[in-house]
Amino acid sequence: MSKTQVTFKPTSGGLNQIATSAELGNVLEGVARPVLEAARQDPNEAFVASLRMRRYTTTGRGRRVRIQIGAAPIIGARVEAKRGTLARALGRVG
Amino acid sequence: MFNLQIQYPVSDGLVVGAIKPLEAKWADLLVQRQLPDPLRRRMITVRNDSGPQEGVQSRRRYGVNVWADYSLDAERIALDAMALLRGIPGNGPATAVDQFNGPFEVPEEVALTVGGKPLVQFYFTCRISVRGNSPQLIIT
Repeated sequence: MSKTQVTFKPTSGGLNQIATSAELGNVLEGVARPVLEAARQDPNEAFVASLRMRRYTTTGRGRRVRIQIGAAPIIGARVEAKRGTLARALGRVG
Repeated sequence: MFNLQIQYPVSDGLVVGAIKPLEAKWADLLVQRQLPDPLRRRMITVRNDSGPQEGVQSRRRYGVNVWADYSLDAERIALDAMALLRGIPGNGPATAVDQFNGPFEVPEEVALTVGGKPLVQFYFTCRISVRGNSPQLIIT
């Protein structure tokens, strides 16, 4: 009986393209958006107003697209220490 | 169709218990889940921020606040606590402790005071994974 075999060998260039692609960025944003919405439920208005989500691509070897959600430094530290808002938002969406 | 039924254990006592030995090292230090009443000049509170359940593991993020009447003491107590938490795996249901972040100073608008002296606050987080008990695969 004859057999045929198909092998998928990703090249590093191909993987880098995927890791930095707009499509992957869109998928990550879809994952991150519920985290941002959960964080916006915090009762501190100044904290909520300072929340930002941004997409960026890392540099150097192993470049990849990333999503970062954060608040202004001082108010963010206070709220996070008091209530763990961002940690809980992350855990809430699995 | 199948699903995994599993009972995850409580872990707050494990975390507080791991840090409790610091009360013998640092005079007047109290380690517990809530702020004490009355306040002390050195305090640690442990807060469970929970997290996802992945199969037989429950990945829980903990937020630990440290207060002391001197900045250097607060930071050293926080670092001591982080070191003790790294020793949790292998003791009970905890399987891993990772993703430490901090400690960093938290600038409060109105600091807690004890004896008229404002306290300095430091904060750090970590993730503790605990293994569930008696997993049962239910096939329907």
